[in-house]
Amino acid sequence: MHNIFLFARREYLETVRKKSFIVMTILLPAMMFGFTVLPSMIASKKSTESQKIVIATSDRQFGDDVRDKFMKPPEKKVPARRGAADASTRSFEVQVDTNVSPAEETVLTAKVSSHEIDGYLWAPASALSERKISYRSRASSDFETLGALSGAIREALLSQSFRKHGVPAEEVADILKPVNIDSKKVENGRVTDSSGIALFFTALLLMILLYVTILMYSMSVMRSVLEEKNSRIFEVLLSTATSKELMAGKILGAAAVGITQIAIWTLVTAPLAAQSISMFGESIRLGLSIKNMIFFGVFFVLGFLLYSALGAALGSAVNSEQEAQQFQFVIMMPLIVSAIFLTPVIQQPHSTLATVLSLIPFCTPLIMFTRILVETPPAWQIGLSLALLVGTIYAMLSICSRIYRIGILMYGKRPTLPEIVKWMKYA
Amino acid sequence: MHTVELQQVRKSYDKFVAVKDLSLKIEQGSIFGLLGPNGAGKTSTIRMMIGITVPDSGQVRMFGEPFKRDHLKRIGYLPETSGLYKRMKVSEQLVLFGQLRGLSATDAAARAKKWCERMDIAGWMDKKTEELSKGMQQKMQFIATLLHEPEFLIMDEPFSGLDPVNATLLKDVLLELNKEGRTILFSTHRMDQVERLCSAICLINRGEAVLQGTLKEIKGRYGRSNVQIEYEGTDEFLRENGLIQSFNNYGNYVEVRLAPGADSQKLLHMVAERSRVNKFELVEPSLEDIFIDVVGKTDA
Repeated sequence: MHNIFLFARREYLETVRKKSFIVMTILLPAMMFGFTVLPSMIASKKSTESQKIVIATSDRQFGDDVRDKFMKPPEKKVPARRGAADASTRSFEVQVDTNVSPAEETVLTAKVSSHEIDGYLWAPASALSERKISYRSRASSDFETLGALSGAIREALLSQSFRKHGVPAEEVADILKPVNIDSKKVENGRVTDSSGIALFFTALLLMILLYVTILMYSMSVMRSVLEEKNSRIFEVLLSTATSKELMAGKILGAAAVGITQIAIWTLVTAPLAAQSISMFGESIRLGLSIKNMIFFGVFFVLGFLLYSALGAALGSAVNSEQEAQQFQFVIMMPLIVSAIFLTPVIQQPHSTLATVLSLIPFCTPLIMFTRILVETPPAWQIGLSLALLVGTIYAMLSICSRIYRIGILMYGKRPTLPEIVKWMKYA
Repeated sequence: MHTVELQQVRKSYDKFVAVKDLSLKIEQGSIFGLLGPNGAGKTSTIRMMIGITVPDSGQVRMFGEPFKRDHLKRIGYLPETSGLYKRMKVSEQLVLFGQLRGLSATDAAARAKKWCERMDIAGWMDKKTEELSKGMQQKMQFIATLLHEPEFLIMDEPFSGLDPVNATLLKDVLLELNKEGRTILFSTHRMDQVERLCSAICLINRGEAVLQGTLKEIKGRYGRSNVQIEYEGTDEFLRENGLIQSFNNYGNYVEVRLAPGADSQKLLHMVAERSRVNKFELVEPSLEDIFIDVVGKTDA
């Protein structure tokens, strides 16, 4: 035990003092901030400029209707949809032009090119009846404007036809009122406050954290074993300690580094997490309960131990960094598979696919945690996955320490798979 | 009592047999030389002595009993190539090695300081290991081996990378430790280096012991059958007749091994006839000569 502690402490101190640790600690949250919060901040900034749009239609009534629907701010919906309200701060100046002669079309097109207006809706009577209206602008991919326009046109056409059938205006407004579905999670027989979309992003965020740190530190363990092997330091170490102690110390040290990093991130981002983050037009509160935090810690540590053991085995079976790189897919594969299936698992956390994946030990840390986050699975499944995970870690440790013990004593020659299998059997 | 006793120890890696039924005994308090060319099986033998590998067959006995891991606390092992963490500070690393061998942190630190002063690297204790020169790292490794005051020291190529001054320093320390009663095992292919230090040797080649015994006994067995000749003029005489079995030309002088039964006086006359002789001396063969002789015979 004493030796394990000494090795773990050495590994821990060496990694934490490295520049890469400090860089990673700062860089990863910065990157995540950059990928998530920044774009929506920029997007909401842009919309303060007003856009000039012309509606060219022979039907004055229709033109005014579209303009009114388009300019009318959407009704305040649920408070969580503050982001949508943000989007409507984009201001528009809309004019209705009843001249739909080909000459006017040329004039309007010229105006668009000369930046006098941002775009125009070309809706002569023929186009209206065929429902083939076109919007011409410099930025033909401004989907937000297009979407708003299309909604406004549809509403305008609907009101027009309602009016034709003699439906009173108030009734028309009532019919056209949008419907909102507010997604709430039911937990322990109670309706909770956390919204589905917030859960999705919370899961995504934590997955990225898990994915990146596990990948990074399992590689770091691999390199550290490789270094010991190449510097032959293990010869000295093995003359005082067993390979199991060495291996356990190394992996525990790496796990301690990971915990430190997560702890730093948690402390730094805790005040931020309490605030809502505006993302994709949604206002999100990172819904992390104490229970979920504990599960995160458990799966993080176990995932870390499993993949670190894998990294150590890889490091001891190869001779150089280049060779190691060829085998990195062994570590990355289950992580990538987990990432690919993340969306289906979030959408249907109860499906057979999700259940099976979450019970495969190499996928458990990411998938089972996601399931817990989205919809608490049956306790027996959580228990089984944890038991399988712990069992696999133990098996990996003992297999790896064998590969380690023999692999590090063999130089120069790259072991073949049958040889590695033989080493595992060898005591 | 014997510090180490190997009984018919065998170790093979796949089909390659690294050590073939090797038996040897190292007397307590002696300086023992495990000699042989590269790849002879020296390091494989040592690894079995310290439990890094387990022999396929045969037995390893340490301090008079079958090997157990507890023995490692009484053994110090200096590996052939530097086995140090490059990014660790010198002092921290020495303390770690001391702790791994059961010393307390404070004890280890005090001993490390004392030894660094003795080995002349005290000024480097706060530096990272990778900043040290190869020779300094070798001295550092040496200190790491000694911290726990082992009864048995295993030195695998201890002088490699050391200049003559430092090699002498190391040798003096080792002799001093031997005087205190500690057993020392030298493993090297540089036979000339240990010839003057060892009291007993075991020459191994291809995993087998080809020559064993005390140095005195071995040299006695070969007698004064070598002649060192310093001469001026032609070296034609070297290619003559049945007097010379083999020779080694060192440039300034030549060492000749006489054929069995040959008379050294006859050789002197012959050399003097054609060249000017400055020195003609009957000497004991060096270990290297003996080794070449023995290995030549077994290989033939």
